[in-house]
Amino acid sequence: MEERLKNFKKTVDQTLFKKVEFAEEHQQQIHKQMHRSHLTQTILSMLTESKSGMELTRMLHVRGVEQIVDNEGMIYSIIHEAEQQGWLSVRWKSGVKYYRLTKIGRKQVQQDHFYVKQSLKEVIWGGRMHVE
Amino acid sequence: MDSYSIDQTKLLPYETIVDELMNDYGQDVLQLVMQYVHNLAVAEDLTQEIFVKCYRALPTFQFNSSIKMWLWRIAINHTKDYLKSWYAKNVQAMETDRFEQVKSGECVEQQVIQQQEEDELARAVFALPVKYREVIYLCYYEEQSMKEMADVLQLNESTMKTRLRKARQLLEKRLERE
Repeated sequence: MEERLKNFKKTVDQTLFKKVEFAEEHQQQIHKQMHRSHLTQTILSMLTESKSGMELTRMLHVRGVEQIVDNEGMIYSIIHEAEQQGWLSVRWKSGVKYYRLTKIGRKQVQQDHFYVKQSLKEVIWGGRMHVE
Repeated sequence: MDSYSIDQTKLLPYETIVDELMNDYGQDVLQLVMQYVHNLAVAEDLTQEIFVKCYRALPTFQFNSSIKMWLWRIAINHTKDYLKSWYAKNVQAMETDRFEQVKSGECVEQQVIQQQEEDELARAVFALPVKYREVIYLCYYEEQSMKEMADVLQLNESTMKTRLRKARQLLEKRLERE
């Protein structure tokens, strides 16, 4: 058995892993998601007090968030997604939409801070079960 | 390159660290995940999620420990969470048997007995239950030490050894039957 298993790597490379390649496009995709995740957290943490999309955009520009330059639509797509998730509540005031963190939204923001505060042990080992 | 030195990493922004991790280990992580899920599209998605998760968890990483082992633990836990999820259990993937797919084009030329035996071996390994399959993979594909395996799988070393022995026995039995 031991003898046969020596060929295991070669065999797997030729069969299961034949077309498996971690390419440049995967990396780019991951970069995009990292930026988005970061921006989402920034936006959510700014909405503890209710703000309109315009106000939010202006504040992000002031903060010098580069991602949104010529790409302000991204802010709205993030807000929309957060609204769908139930993280934001919406209120109309004289024809303008105002957004604000809900309880769940606040938890979401804290969770990320929690991620930062939590010990490494808890993040990686935190109460996992093994799949049989 | 198993762990980065403390001085360097403290200065690097997290995105750059993830970038280096992707360059060094992207392929390995993708294969590791593939070994669990047997579906390329799913494996690619999970791998992306794993690196984003890693980015978000980096502030908690203690830079005196091995970042590779840390990344492996995140990858394995994330993939197992997927396997346990409702989605993985109830939605049938389109691509059911990658071995069949790969074989069909080639088996004409590869009718050497040796080759068939090897295919059988790989098939038998990937038909094992997850807990035996993963130890065979980490041991014989990645050539990890007992200590590393115990670390990434969060088991103690004696459990590890028992499981590996059991996995080999199971394999032997299954291959004899064929």
